[in-house]
Amino acid sequence: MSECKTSFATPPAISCRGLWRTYNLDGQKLHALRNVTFDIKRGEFVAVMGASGSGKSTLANLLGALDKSTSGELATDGYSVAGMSDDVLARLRNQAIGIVFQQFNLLPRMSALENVILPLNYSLLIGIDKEVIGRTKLEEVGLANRLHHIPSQLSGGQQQRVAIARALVNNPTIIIADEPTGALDTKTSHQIMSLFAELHSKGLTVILITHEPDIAAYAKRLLRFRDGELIADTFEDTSLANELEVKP
Amino acid sequence: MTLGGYLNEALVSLRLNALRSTLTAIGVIIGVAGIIVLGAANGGAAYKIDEQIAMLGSRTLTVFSSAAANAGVRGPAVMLSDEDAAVIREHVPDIQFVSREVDGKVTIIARNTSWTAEYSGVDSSYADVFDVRLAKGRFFDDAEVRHGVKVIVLGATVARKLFGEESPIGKSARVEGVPMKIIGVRVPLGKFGGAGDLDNSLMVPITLARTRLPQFEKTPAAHQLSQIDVKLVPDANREATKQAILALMRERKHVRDGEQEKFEVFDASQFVELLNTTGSSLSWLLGATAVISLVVGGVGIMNIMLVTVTERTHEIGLRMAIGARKRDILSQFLMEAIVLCVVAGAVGLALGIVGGYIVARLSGWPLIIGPGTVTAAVLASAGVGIVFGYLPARRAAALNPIDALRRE
Repeated sequence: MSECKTSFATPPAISCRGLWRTYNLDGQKLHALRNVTFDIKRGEFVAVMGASGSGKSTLANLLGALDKSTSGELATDGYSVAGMSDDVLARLRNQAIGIVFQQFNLLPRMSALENVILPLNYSLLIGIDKEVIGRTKLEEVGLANRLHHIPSQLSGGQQQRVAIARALVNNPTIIIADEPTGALDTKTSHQIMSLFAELHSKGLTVILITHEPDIAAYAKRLLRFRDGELIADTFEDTSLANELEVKP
Repeated sequence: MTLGGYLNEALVSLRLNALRSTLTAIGVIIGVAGIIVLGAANGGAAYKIDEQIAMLGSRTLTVFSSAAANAGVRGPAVMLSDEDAAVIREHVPDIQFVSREVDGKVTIIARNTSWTAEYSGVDSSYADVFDVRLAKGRFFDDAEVRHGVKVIVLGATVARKLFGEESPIGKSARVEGVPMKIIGVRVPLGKFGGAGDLDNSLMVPITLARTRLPQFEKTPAAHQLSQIDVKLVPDANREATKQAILALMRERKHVRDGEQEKFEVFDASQFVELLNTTGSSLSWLLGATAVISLVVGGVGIMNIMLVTVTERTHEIGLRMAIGARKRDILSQFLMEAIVLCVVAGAVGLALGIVGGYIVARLSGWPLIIGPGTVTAAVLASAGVGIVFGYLPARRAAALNPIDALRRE
């Protein structure tokens, strides 16, 4: 892991080194990710862009510890994911990473509050008031008055806010949002993006997967993918630009 | 997640599929109800056995000459005598009371009604040997036996046939033409197997029977007996006493080693227990049905849990994505199966109690459902949940988060 060393004192939030993800489809090898290498610093707001089939969702799954790479190194907060047991991966998903999906993925029979505190049920914490934490998070996303509504009683934007509150409930350092506005209208999309921008301003690392340029524009850094390869890494904030370089 | 959390989620999930859950649970409900009814039947049967033992006399042994010896097969008939009764009373340990007995069949006439019944000519100690309980009047005493006073105690059936609802106490009846005074009526004992109606009987002093009534034995000698009735002291060793009596009788009647026994000792408790082992085949059948029903019910539970896991694959993926470990998913689905089975068990318990009540009413038993039966039912239902819920739960836990999440 000597090549993982960076100029930062603390390890990067995400560190990818020669990442491959290969699917075996009827004997044919499909490379969803090819030799992807990049680092994401703590507190960065990164957009991952690309056409469908470019590998950006595969990347989101790997970063969200939902899937494992075929080869290469992926480290979250300096810890290599490859050697982690299932239980440790579950803990990583529960504690360190908050994930937001395009289809919200709320449990339909549970209220907003119950959905938000669901991850706390898997946190092995005792003596916490889950309801108070859940309420606070829902207030943060502006849904203080929708605590006991079930998802079908909420608009798409409201549902996504609940999902974001759920992602935040264990105070993770990394938020991964996979096409979070894909199912929302333009106006609502921008409201949701403002929320992510706010989270970034509070110091969270936000990784945004999208194919819409105006959504990606909220981010401070852009990773472009094509056919599983990282083809461009551009910084809006140029002060960071010389810190990292991408080998095509 | 905490146990309460799993429990709560399981209840919510089952309520959402109330009809399906109910239909699935029927096998387990029937199985558990079967166990309860079985337990009630066994409890009732055990009670019945105790009752029958009490009827025939607890701690009671009856000595009589064996059929072959009585009939004079291979040598002259060997009969019991007054002297044998005295010797048993004297020499066999652990004996509390002894009564001599001669038996026969008589015609009894009262109020223009004629009735046939078996009589026992006995000592006054007969009342102690068999714990005779009287509905009315009293049993005859030693003096009445010594002097052959013409007094009789009626069995409940005889009293009813001759006197109806009227009290026979103090009334007179002709037994084989001899007028006798009725001094007591026994509490009904009921019917007992091949012995028929135990209440179609009457008791007279043995001395009176010998002089005035016909006996089963064709030409009984003056001192001969049909049987000797023995009451043991509490906590006596029944088998040892039985053997002691047999040994004593062998010695007295000069029976050589290896020669056929001339006497038998009848132990009512042993007899009743033996008699009731045949009833247990029904218990086995019911038990097997209950177990089969539980297994079939369990397979139903497994099937529906597999369906549930498939239906909720996406949810499982989501739960894993937000930090559920494999064991959390396993526990969740296992808990759901267990809750389903335990709720089914509770319903089965209620149905079983109703069923047990019906069985008890039909058999004339009291309803006895012990804590052991209830425990067995609860454990059986939870066990079915664990055994048949495990495979679906493990399948759920083994899902790969991303594959599960992709499934809609």
